Amino acid sequence: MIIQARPVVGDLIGPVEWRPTSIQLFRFSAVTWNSHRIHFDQAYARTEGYPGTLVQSQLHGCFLAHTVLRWAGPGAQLLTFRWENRHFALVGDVLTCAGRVTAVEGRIVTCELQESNQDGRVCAPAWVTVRLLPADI
Amino acid sequence: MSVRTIYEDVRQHVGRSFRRDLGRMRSIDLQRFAVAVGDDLPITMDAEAAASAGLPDIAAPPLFLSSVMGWEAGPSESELLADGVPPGGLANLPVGGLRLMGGGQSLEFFQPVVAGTQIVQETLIKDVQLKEGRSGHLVLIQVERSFFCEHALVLRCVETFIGR
Repeated sequence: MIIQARPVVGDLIGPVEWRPTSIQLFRFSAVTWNSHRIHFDQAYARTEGYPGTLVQSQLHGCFLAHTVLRWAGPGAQLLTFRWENRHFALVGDVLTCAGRVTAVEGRIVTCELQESNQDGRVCAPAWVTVRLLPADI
Repeated sequence: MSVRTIYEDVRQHVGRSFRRDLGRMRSIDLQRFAVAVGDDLPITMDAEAAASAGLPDIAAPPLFLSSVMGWEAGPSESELLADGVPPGGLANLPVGGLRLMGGGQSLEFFQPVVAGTQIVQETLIKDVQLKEGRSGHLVLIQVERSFFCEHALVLRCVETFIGR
Protein backbone atom coordinates (compact mmCIF):
# COMPACT_ATOMS: atom_id res chain seq x y z
CA MET A 1 0.00 0.00 0.00
CA ILE A 2 1.85 3.11 -1.22
CA ILE A 3 0.47 6.60 -0.95
CA GLN A 4 -0.25 8.07 -4.36
CA ALA A 5 -0.53 11.78 -3.60
CA ARG A 6 0.46 14.39 -1.09
CA PRO A 7 -1.19 13.37 2.20
CA VAL A 8 -3.68 15.68 3.85
CA VAL A 9 -5.19 15.79 7.30
CA GLY A 10 -7.86 13.15 7.61
CA ASP A 11 -6.32 10.69 5.14
CA LEU A 12 -6.87 7.13 6.27
CA ILE A 13 -4.03 4.71 7.07
CA GLY A 14 -4.78 1.03 6.68
CA PRO A 15 -6.58 -1.00 7.72
CA VAL A 16 -3.94 -3.72 7.83
CA GLU A 17 -4.72 -7.08 9.44
CA TRP A 18 -2.15 -8.95 11.49
CA ARG A 19 -2.80 -12.51 12.60
CA PRO A 20 -0.24 -13.56 15.23
CA THR A 21 0.50 -17.27 15.29
CA SER A 22 2.26 -19.46 17.85
CA ILE A 23 5.22 -19.72 15.46
CA GLN A 24 5.42 -15.95 15.13
CA LEU A 25 5.42 -15.49 18.90
CA PHE A 26 8.04 -18.21 19.30
CA ARG A 27 10.29 -16.63 16.68
CA PHE A 28 9.83 -13.13 18.12
CA SER A 29 10.75 -14.40 21.58
CA ALA A 30 13.78 -16.15 20.10
CA VAL A 31 15.15 -13.17 18.15
CA THR A 32 14.64 -10.83 21.10
CA TRP A 33 16.00 -13.35 23.65
CA ASN A 34 12.77 -13.10 25.65
CA SER A 35 12.22 -16.24 27.71
CA HIS A 36 9.07 -15.03 29.48
CA ARG A 37 6.86 -18.13 29.49
CA ILE A 38 3.69 -16.14 29.07
CA HIS A 39 4.52 -15.85 25.36
CA PHE A 40 5.07 -19.53 24.53
CA ASP A 41 3.79 -21.72 27.39
CA GLN A 42 0.00 -21.91 27.30
CA ALA A 43 -0.29 -23.83 30.57
CA TYR A 44 1.82 -21.22 32.32
CA ALA A 45 -0.14 -18.33 30.77
CA ARG A 46 -3.31 -19.85 32.26
CA THR A 47 -1.76 -19.77 35.73
CA GLU A 48 -1.56 -16.01 35.33
CA GLY A 49 -5.23 -15.86 34.35
CA TYR A 50 -4.89 -15.56 30.57
CA PRO A 51 -6.75 -17.84 28.14
CA GLY A 52 -3.65 -18.39 25.99
CA THR A 53 -0.19 -17.16 25.13
CA LEU A 54 0.18 -13.39 24.85
CA VAL A 55 1.48 -11.31 21.98
CA GLN A 56 4.67 -9.58 23.14
CA SER A 57 4.42 -5.89 24.02
CA GLN A 58 6.95 -4.91 21.36
CA LEU A 59 5.25 -7.00 18.69
CA HIS A 60 2.16 -4.82 19.07
CA GLY A 61 4.46 -1.87 18.38
CA CYS A 62 5.94 -3.57 15.34
CA PHE A 63 2.49 -4.18 13.83
CA LEU A 64 1.61 -0.51 14.25
CA ALA A 65 4.96 0.83 13.02
CA HIS A 66 4.92 -1.30 9.89
CA THR A 67 1.35 -0.33 9.12
CA VAL A 68 2.52 3.29 8.95
CA LEU A 69 5.70 2.53 7.00
CA ARG A 70 3.82 0.49 4.39
CA TRP A 71 1.43 3.40 3.94
CA ALA A 72 4.20 6.00 3.84
CA GLY A 73 6.06 4.31 1.00
CA PRO A 74 9.70 3.59 0.18
CA GLY A 75 12.30 5.70 1.95
CA ALA A 76 9.98 7.00 4.65
CA GLN A 77 11.55 7.24 8.10
CA LEU A 78 9.98 7.22 11.53
CA LEU A 79 10.94 10.26 13.57
CA THR A 80 8.89 9.54 16.68
CA PHE A 81 6.70 6.60 17.59
CA ARG A 82 4.79 5.94 20.78
CA TRP A 83 2.35 3.22 21.64
CA GLU A 84 0.61 2.01 24.81
CA ASN A 85 -0.43 -1.55 25.52
CA ARG A 86 -4.00 -1.31 26.79
CA HIS A 87 -5.31 -4.85 26.35
CA PHE A 88 -3.62 -8.19 25.74
CA ALA A 89 -3.82 -10.09 22.45
CA LEU A 90 -3.59 -13.82 21.92
CA VAL A 91 -2.49 -16.26 19.26
CA GLY A 92 -5.37 -16.54 16.81
CA ASP A 93 -6.64 -13.01 17.35
CA VAL A 94 -7.17 -10.84 14.29
CA LEU A 95 -5.50 -7.50 14.99
CA THR A 96 -6.44 -4.62 12.75
CA CYS A 97 -4.22 -1.53 12.60
CA ALA A 98 -5.80 1.61 11.21
CA GLY A 99 -5.55 5.34 11.69
CA ARG A 100 -5.53 8.73 10.08
CA VAL A 101 -3.28 11.67 9.33
CA THR A 102 -3.62 14.40 11.95
CA ALA A 103 -1.08 16.97 10.68
CA VAL A 104 1.11 17.62 7.63
CA GLU A 105 4.04 20.01 7.61
CA GLY A 106 6.15 19.73 4.49
CA ARG A 107 7.51 16.19 4.42
CA ILE A 108 6.61 15.57 8.06
CA VAL A 109 3.35 13.73 8.63
CA THR A 110 1.78 13.12 12.03
CA CYS A 111 -0.64 10.23 12.48
CA GLU A 112 -2.74 8.49 15.10
CA LEU A 113 -3.45 4.77 14.91
CA GLN A 114 -5.10 2.01 16.85
CA GLU A 115 -4.61 -1.72 16.93
CA SER A 116 -7.93 -3.42 17.68
CA ASN A 117 -8.89 -7.06 18.04
CA GLN A 118 -11.73 -8.89 16.30
CA ASP A 119 -14.15 -7.78 19.02
CA GLY A 120 -13.34 -4.13 18.42
CA ARG A 121 -11.39 -3.81 21.64
CA VAL A 122 -8.42 -1.45 21.40
CA CYS A 123 -5.23 -3.31 22.26
CA ALA A 124 -2.80 -0.49 21.53
CA PRO A 125 -3.18 3.13 20.43
CA ALA A 126 -0.17 4.79 18.78
CA TRP A 127 1.09 8.23 17.82
CA VAL A 128 3.60 8.57 14.99
CA THR A 129 5.62 11.20 13.17
CA VAL A 130 7.09 10.09 9.86
CA ARG A 131 9.25 11.86 7.27
CA LEU A 132 8.39 11.08 3.67
CA LEU A 133 10.77 11.11 0.75
CA PRO A 134 10.50 14.29 -1.36
CA ALA A 135 9.17 12.27 -4.28
CA ASP A 136 6.22 11.19 -2.18
CA ILE A 137 4.72 14.65 -1.70
CA MET B 1 7.21 -9.24 49.36
CA SER B 2 4.43 -6.69 48.76
CA VAL B 3 4.14 -4.49 45.68
CA ARG B 4 4.58 -1.46 47.93
CA THR B 5 7.82 -2.86 49.34
CA ILE B 6 9.15 -3.54 45.86
CA TYR B 7 8.15 0.00 44.86
CA GLU B 8 10.13 1.40 47.80
CA ASP B 9 13.15 -0.70 46.81
CA VAL B 10 13.00 0.30 43.14
CA ARG B 11 12.62 3.97 44.09
CA GLN B 12 16.13 3.84 45.55
CA HIS B 13 17.43 3.13 42.04
CA VAL B 14 15.73 6.01 40.21
CA GLY B 15 18.40 8.15 38.56
CA ARG B 16 20.91 5.30 38.32
CA SER B 17 22.43 4.80 34.88
CA PHE B 18 24.87 2.43 33.25
CA ARG B 19 26.37 1.81 29.81
CA ARG B 20 27.17 -1.34 27.92
CA ASP B 21 28.61 -2.19 24.55
CA LEU B 22 26.11 -4.21 22.54
CA GLY B 23 28.64 -5.09 19.85
CA ARG B 24 28.19 -4.93 16.10
CA MET B 25 24.74 -5.44 14.63
CA ARG B 26 24.76 -8.58 12.48
CA SER B 27 22.78 -8.72 9.25
CA ILE B 28 21.33 -12.11 10.13
CA ASP B 29 19.93 -10.83 13.44
CA LEU B 30 18.28 -7.86 11.74
CA GLN B 31 16.85 -10.07 9.02
CA ARG B 32 15.56 -12.71 11.44
CA PHE B 33 13.82 -9.99 13.41
CA ALA B 34 12.27 -8.66 10.21
CA VAL B 35 11.06 -12.12 9.23
CA ALA B 36 9.62 -12.79 12.69
CA VAL B 37 7.71 -9.51 12.66
CA GLY B 38 6.48 -9.76 9.09
CA ASP B 39 8.52 -6.76 7.98
CA ASP B 40 8.50 -6.81 4.19
CA LEU B 41 10.31 -3.51 3.64
CA PRO B 42 13.10 -4.11 1.08
CA ILE B 43 15.75 -2.06 2.93
CA THR B 44 15.65 -4.54 5.82
CA MET B 45 16.26 -7.59 3.63
CA ASP B 46 18.05 -6.48 0.48
CA ALA B 47 21.44 -4.75 0.45
CA GLU B 48 20.80 -3.32 -3.04
CA ALA B 49 17.53 -1.76 -1.92
CA ALA B 50 19.32 -0.33 1.10
CA ALA B 51 22.09 1.05 -1.14
CA SER B 52 19.59 2.72 -3.42
CA ALA B 53 18.14 4.38 -0.30
CA GLY B 54 21.61 5.74 0.49
CA LEU B 55 22.41 3.26 3.26
CA PRO B 56 25.75 1.42 3.50
CA ASP B 57 24.06 -1.89 4.39
CA ILE B 58 20.64 -3.28 5.26
CA ALA B 59 18.69 -1.31 7.85
CA ALA B 60 17.49 -2.58 11.18
CA PRO B 61 13.70 -2.70 11.51
CA PRO B 62 12.78 0.39 13.53
CA LEU B 63 11.92 -1.48 16.73
CA PHE B 64 14.82 -3.93 16.63
CA LEU B 65 17.08 -2.27 19.21
CA SER B 66 14.28 -1.47 21.63
CA SER B 67 12.73 -4.95 21.42
CA VAL B 68 15.74 -7.11 22.25
CA MET B 69 15.50 -8.13 25.91
CA GLY B 70 18.96 -9.61 26.31
CA TRP B 71 22.23 -8.94 24.50
CA GLU B 72 24.27 -11.50 26.41
CA ALA B 73 24.14 -15.29 26.68
CA GLY B 74 22.12 -15.03 29.88
CA PRO B 75 21.83 -17.44 32.81
CA SER B 76 21.23 -21.16 32.55
CA GLU B 77 17.64 -22.40 32.62
CA SER B 78 17.96 -23.48 36.25
CA GLU B 79 18.65 -19.88 37.22
CA LEU B 80 15.57 -18.42 35.55
CA LEU B 81 12.64 -17.28 37.68
CA ALA B 82 9.39 -19.27 37.65
CA ASP B 83 8.00 -17.11 34.85
CA GLY B 84 11.07 -17.77 32.69
CA VAL B 85 12.57 -14.31 33.10
CA PRO B 86 16.21 -14.01 34.20
CA PRO B 87 16.82 -12.48 37.63
CA GLY B 88 17.71 -8.83 37.16
CA GLY B 89 16.30 -8.96 33.66
CA LEU B 90 14.75 -5.53 34.04
CA ALA B 91 17.81 -3.27 34.26
CA ASN B 92 19.05 -5.17 37.31
CA LEU B 93 16.18 -3.80 39.39
CA PRO B 94 14.95 -5.72 42.48
CA VAL B 95 11.59 -6.71 41.01
CA GLY B 96 11.65 -10.44 41.78
CA GLY B 97 8.11 -11.59 42.64
CA LEU B 98 6.38 -9.04 40.43
CA ARG B 99 4.42 -10.08 37.37
CA LEU B 100 5.82 -7.70 34.78
CA MET B 101 4.24 -6.64 31.52
CA GLY B 102 5.47 -4.23 28.87
CA GLY B 103 3.25 -1.17 28.82
CA GLY B 104 4.56 0.40 25.63
CA GLN B 105 7.42 2.53 24.38
CA SER B 106 8.06 6.12 23.35
CA LEU B 107 10.77 6.27 20.69
CA GLU B 108 12.78 9.04 19.04
CA PHE B 109 14.72 8.08 15.93
CA PHE B 110 17.78 10.15 15.06
CA GLN B 111 19.44 8.12 12.32
CA PRO B 112 19.00 4.67 10.76
CA VAL B 113 20.79 1.71 12.31
CA VAL B 114 22.45 -0.49 9.71
CA ALA B 115 24.19 -3.85 9.77
CA GLY B 116 27.78 -3.67 10.97
CA THR B 117 27.14 -0.74 13.26
CA GLN B 118 28.71 -0.86 16.72
CA ILE B 119 26.09 0.14 19.27
CA VAL B 120 26.48 1.29 22.86
CA GLN B 121 23.45 1.40 25.11
CA GLU B 122 23.00 3.76 28.05
CA THR B 123 20.24 2.80 30.47
CA LEU B 124 18.64 5.19 32.95
CA ILE B 125 16.13 4.24 35.63
CA LYS B 126 13.84 7.15 34.93
CA ASP B 127 10.84 6.84 37.24
CA VAL B 128 8.72 4.54 39.36
CA GLN B 129 5.16 5.14 40.53
CA LEU B 130 2.83 3.23 42.82
CA LYS B 131 -0.77 3.08 41.59
CA GLU B 132 -4.00 1.62 42.89
CA GLY B 133 -5.44 -0.82 40.35
CA ARG B 134 -8.71 -2.78 40.32
CA SER B 135 -7.03 -5.74 41.99
CA GLY B 136 -4.61 -3.94 44.28
CA HIS B 137 -1.39 -2.00 43.99
CA LEU B 138 0.70 -1.91 40.84
CA VAL B 139 3.97 -0.22 40.00
CA LEU B 140 4.81 1.63 36.81
CA ILE B 141 8.54 1.58 36.07
CA GLN B 142 10.01 3.79 33.35
CA VAL B 143 13.38 2.86 31.87
CA GLU B 144 15.09 5.11 29.34
CA ARG B 145 17.55 3.53 26.93
CA SER B 146 19.70 5.62 24.62
CA PHE B 147 21.56 3.90 21.81
CA PHE B 148 24.75 5.40 20.40
CA CYS B 149 26.83 4.71 17.32
CA GLU B 150 30.31 6.22 17.57
CA HIS B 151 29.03 8.67 20.20
CA ALA B 152 26.13 9.80 18.01
CA LEU B 153 22.67 9.18 19.43
CA VAL B 154 20.69 7.00 17.02
CA LEU B 155 17.66 6.07 19.12
CA ARG B 156 16.10 6.97 22.45
CA CYS B 157 13.46 4.71 23.97
CA VAL B 158 11.45 5.26 27.14
CA GLU B 159 9.69 2.02 28.03
CA THR B 160 7.04 1.57 30.70
CA PHE B 161 6.77 -1.69 32.59
CA ILE B 162 3.72 -2.58 34.66
CA GLY B 163 4.33 -4.76 37.72
CA ARG B 164 1.64 -6.46 39.79
